[in-house]
Amino acid sequence: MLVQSGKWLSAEGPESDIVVSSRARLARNVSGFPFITRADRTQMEELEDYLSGRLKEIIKDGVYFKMSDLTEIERGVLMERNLISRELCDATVPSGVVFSLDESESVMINEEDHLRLQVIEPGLRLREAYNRINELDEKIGEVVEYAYSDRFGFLTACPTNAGTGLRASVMLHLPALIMTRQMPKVFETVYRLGLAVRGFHGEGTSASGDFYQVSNQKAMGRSEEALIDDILSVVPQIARYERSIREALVEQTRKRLEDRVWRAYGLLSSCRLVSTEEALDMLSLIRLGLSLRILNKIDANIVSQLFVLVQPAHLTKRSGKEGLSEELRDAERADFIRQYFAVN
Amino acid sequence: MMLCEVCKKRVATLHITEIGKDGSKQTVHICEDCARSQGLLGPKPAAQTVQQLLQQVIEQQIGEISEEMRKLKCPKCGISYEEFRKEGRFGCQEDYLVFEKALSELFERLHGSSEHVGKRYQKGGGKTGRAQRIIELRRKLADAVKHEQYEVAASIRDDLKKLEMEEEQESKRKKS
Repeated sequence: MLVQSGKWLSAEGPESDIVVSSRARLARNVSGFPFITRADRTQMEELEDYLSGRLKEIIKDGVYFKMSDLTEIERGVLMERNLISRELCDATVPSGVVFSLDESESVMINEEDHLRLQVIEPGLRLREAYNRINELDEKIGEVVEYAYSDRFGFLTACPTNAGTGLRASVMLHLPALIMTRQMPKVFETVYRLGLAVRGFHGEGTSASGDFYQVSNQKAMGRSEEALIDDILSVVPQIARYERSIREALVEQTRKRLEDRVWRAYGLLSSCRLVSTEEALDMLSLIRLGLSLRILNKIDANIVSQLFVLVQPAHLTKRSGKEGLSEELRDAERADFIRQYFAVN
Repeated sequence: MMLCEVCKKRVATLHITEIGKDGSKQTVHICEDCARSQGLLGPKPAAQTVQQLLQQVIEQQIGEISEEMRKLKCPKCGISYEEFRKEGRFGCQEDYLVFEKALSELFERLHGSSEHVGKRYQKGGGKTGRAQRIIELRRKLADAVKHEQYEVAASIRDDLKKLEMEEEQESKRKKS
């Protein structure tokens, strides 16, 4: 797990030059139990015990992790792989996660809601991700009775999720738009459609590695299909915009762009110290260079994996050395990337 | 942490590198507010995250709680309407019924609608409250054992076994 990322981060799938992955998430609660905000520890433990047992049967090759059994670093690893949210990572209440071996399906137990289902697909495959999560939802909804009302739909702890409980999102790699400061225009278009833009790890995070997520804000008053269509209507526009700027950059400043991409490659193949931030910036340039065929020294899948593998928790867990100083950690990271480049 | 080069007060959250024609690099460290006033960033969107949007909506309403709503309290989870407004989270599914009157306006503002039109969920039938019942009995069993009420425990265990068998058979049937 520590030397490979989930298959959703592979460089494959439709529009993969720009669209990294498509994700669907459903918020669900079990009828008859107070929501997590008001449940006591015993109730949460009972729910976790029961739900984890059933989910392991429902999710093929399901693996279950109880948060209280994991170290801070191990939780961090799960978060960096997008298997759990920051909230669950920091959780002090009985909670856990069940996920499929390929990491494309996961269900968090006792996060903000009793159940948070997630399906991730590589590339622009949001409809496929929704169809899969819908199937999973059907199976779980037969085993437990969901909190649901005909008027308000699926009842969730936070009023922003009530209705469909759906949060659909697409992760985009937009280095050219960021480089040329075109993002404010993108934000405006997206907000006007009632959609949201977030960083790599969701709400309130920055866009490390030039990744942005576009997702729905509203969850009630529109069907799941309509919510997904909203996102699918805007994503190809953003992708076209990014592509046109990439082409303009190649046309107008070819040497300069080539230089930046090759310098990024040179830096990562020979550095002795590198911070997470710098590594992600360089990887972003390499990813861009690969899609523009400026560079062919390395496989796109390897680069995609590195976006996850260079992050702090992965690095610490892999080296087996906790509490390293910043300098030593940056040295570990540099060594790891160099070796990874050398063997791939 | 780096301070904004323009106002020298706030933390610089944006680091913009300009590349000159000769390839020279110049990096400006700037905070979001100054970037906006310098035209480097567009106007601040009305609501940046769902959380902030929710906070705004709830704050806008907080002054207007009527006497009638103020008295409302969910008999199941004990959360009052005021607490819900302050915390922005429901305590249990019953709250949707207890606070129904005030929810239309909240959902209209959040979602532009207060009616669910998506997937329907059929309750009852095969998916009765068996899961809930199993969880409940497991707790009762643990309690009975703890209090050394072994006869009670034995009878609970029988009921529980029956339900668990049913569940197991059903999932086997589905697999085959």
